[in-house]
Amino acid sequence: MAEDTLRTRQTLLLRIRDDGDERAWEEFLDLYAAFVFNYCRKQGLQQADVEDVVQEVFRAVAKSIRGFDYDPVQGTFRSWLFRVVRSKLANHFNKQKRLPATPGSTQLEGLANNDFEANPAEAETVEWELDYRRRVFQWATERVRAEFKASTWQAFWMSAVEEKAPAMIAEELGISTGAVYIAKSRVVARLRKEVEVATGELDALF
Amino acid sequence: MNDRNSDEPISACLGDDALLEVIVEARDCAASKQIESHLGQCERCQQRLEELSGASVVLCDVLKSTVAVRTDGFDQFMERIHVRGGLSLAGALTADGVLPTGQITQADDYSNILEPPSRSGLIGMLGDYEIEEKVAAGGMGIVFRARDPALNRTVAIKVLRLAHGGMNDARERFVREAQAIAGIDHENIIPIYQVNHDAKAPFLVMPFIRGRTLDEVVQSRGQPLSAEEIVGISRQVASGLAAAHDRGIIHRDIKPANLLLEDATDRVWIADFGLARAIWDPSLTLSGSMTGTPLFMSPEQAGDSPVDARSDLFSLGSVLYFLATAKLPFTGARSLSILRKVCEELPPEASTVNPSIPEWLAALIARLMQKDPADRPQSAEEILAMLDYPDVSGADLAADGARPQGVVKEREIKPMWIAACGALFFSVAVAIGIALDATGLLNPGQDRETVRHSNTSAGKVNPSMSVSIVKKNGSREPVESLAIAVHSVHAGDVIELSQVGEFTLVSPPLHLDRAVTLRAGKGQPPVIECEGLLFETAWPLQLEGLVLRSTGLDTPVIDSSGDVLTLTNCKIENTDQSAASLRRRRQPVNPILSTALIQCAAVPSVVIRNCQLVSETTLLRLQPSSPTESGGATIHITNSVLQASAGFTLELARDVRLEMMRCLVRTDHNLFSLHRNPRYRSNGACNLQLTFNSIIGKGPVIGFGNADIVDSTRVTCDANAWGDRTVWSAGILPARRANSGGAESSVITRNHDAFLNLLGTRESDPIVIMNSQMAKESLRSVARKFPAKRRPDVRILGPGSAYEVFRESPLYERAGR
Repeated sequence: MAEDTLRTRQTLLLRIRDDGDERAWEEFLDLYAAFVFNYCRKQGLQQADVEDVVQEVFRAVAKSIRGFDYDPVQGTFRSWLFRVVRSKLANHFNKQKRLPATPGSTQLEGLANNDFEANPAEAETVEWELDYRRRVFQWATERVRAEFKASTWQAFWMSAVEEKAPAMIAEELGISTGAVYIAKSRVVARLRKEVEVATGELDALF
Repeated sequence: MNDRNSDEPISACLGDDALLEVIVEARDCAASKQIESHLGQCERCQQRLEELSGASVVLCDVLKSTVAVRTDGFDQFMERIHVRGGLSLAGALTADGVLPTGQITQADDYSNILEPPSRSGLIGMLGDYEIEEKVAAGGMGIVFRARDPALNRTVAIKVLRLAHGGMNDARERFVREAQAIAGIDHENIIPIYQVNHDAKAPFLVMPFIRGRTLDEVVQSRGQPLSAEEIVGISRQVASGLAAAHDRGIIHRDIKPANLLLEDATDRVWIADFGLARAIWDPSLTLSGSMTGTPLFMSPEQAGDSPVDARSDLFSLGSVLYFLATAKLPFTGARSLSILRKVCEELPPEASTVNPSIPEWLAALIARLMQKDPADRPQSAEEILAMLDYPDVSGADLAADGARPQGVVKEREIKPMWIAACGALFFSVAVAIGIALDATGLLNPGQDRETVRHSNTSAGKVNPSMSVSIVKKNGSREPVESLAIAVHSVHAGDVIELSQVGEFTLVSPPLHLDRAVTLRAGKGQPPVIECEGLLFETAWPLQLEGLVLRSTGLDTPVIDSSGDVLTLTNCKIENTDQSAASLRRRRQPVNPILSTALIQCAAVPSVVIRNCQLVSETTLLRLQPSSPTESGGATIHITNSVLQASAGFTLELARDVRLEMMRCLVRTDHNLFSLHRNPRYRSNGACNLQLTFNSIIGKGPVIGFGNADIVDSTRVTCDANAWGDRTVWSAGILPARRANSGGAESSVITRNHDAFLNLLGTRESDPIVIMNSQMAKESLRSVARKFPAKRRPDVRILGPGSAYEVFRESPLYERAGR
């Protein structure tokens, strides 16, 4: 049953290739924009610069999304996205190098990063991957939360995230210990499905 | 669970299939009690359930760390990006991130906004509104043309694209802002009929205005607008902004695409007032960060600083720059580069890019676009005043030959102008207020030119006032005094008075022996003070941007018998505080006997533009210079504020043609006193045309000094606003002729915004009233007072297409003779 739903729902990546599916694009942005934004921010860019780079990244994504065929051999979407982000960041830092440093301008902070390379070091790739996972699950939790009863969600949250003992949770919420396990498994499964539908990949994540 | 006794725990472990079923079972329906209780005890099944659901340690770690993910600044980014359409799919696919009129959806699918159409020919319904057509789409939302079936009128409906997330907050904000906007009743701000926030997407209902945005106007012309058009547009936009700022509402997104030019009337409408703020995050309302189109946004908006009304003024400056040059003041491939330029660069002067833009207008635009809000005009009212009273007097507007190209007609400017007049009174008073206080210190017997520093607290480093002669080739030559300058200036050269700080030049009478052009240079308008006469000339005299202040009422300030007298952007006032003057104020003297502020003899052309004339006496007297003089004189008075006990005394010995347009007039006596000096042979006619003025007078509009003048007088009034107690002179009526000493106030009109042609020169000539119910009625009631035989022939034309009726009638021929 779960498999059926999975197959009948196109992945988000497929849907955004359809020009008319503005909604898919919005979901896509909802999923990735904050993530890309955060990543750029971490590279030491100022708000205005981050906004610029993020816009460029998504413009590039929108343009080339049709050419992007999901092929695990060629690479995953998240690694492709990483390449795009790195190259836009590299462009940005390159341009800044060429601009005269105006005192008091927003460029000064960026200049500290003038050794930025488009090709990431391994540690950077690992960091990206981890951030990516965090983001997609964060996004998924936001989306599926409303599908569950409050007590179910709380049971999941307290056990999976807050790592409380199921018995304690059961007592606190006034449900049985078994119900806590069930709640956790159901929400986790649902989250994974949401992520899988959105990213078209899940096994590759774990 | 509440029936535990029947739920014996099952001891056997659950298979994978059973556990999977538990996982995917309808999510919140309770699992079988047995399974639940088994899971509560069996560690193996607990573990297996977690494995099957994928709740690995790694995943749980990821979930834990999501709690810590914070994205400072992202929400603001998303919201402004949404509004700009910059990250929308359509937006992302265009070359530029700035999408003023981009489509929101590629396909015309509004099913997420509209209800299905109720009949064919519609694209949908929104409440009761029948949506007929999509008119525009942009970052803010989609605009539809719709029909309101209840009132059977066409409306525009703007469906808003609300910010990402926080829908309820955004809706509330939206309604609050809409209420604020709806509170502004201004002829240049698109009103709001209705706001609906319950629909799928909140929407606003507004009048449907057929027209084009200024963006489209410039693009379709492919060239800048004329200076006059720009001034007309500036007045209207500034006036609208003034009204909104008054209520504390800042637009935040003034740009050409938000300014609509109505086709039928050429009125400018400001759209999307306050919506920028309503749509964005409330936390932004204080800092206002980047809430606007980057191309026209102010540095403080671009730089995330608090914004106030002056931010709109910067944007207005950028818009005017765009209109004046057909070029964007700041360009760049990316919004960041635009923003950086907004904050750091100055665009080339508008007059450099487009030489037909007068210097003063370019200077005004440059002032509006100052980076520091404190360096800009501080309010929209100030802009209005500056438009009529520019402090940098350079090339003159009309002298540039820039005529309206049908974009802004006089009619639309008029109401603006009246508002501007009020502001002008105020700002001029403030600007020279301190100088005025010092009037009492003046030595009345002064016959030497002196310069008095009027404002020591001006904070300028080196206060100075200088007189220089600007040669035709642009070179500049300092001159010791004004008296020397007027006697050494060559034809075509210009005398300039510049000042740092505020000064008053106290001057003896200057008897000019050549053509003189005297204008204000940099700084505040120079004040020249005199006791009575200042300029006596038989030569062309041209004054620009000066304040002339006279303390004597017995002689005119300007006494000209030259060919041309041109006053532009000047204030000329009589500030006699003597007992005689005060007496005169209480009881106005007969204008024919009083001295005039400006006296002209044999001056064929008097032009008064953007001036303020204030006096307890007659403002302007035109008299023949000799009994045998022939030819005609023309007087043009436009955009001026006239305040006097009596407006004009025209002594007629020849054809006088007077055109008064867009003036604000206040008189305690006649507006016009027509008078024929019996010594002079007369064969002339007097033709007065009053258009778009606002006139408040206590005396009759026209007084006739002697009866035979009525034979040759024609007054044409068009779209003036008259004071409540306006009284027309009886002189033109046949009864008046028969009884030249009596019957005053025979024609009374009130508030008529009409064409009033008084053609009664002979008993057979009719009085024609058109298009004015009130004028018609009052005239009829007056007519009834006359004996039946001598009752004036009042012909009423109209209603409705009165002007056309008039054009077709034989009267038109006669009126035009």
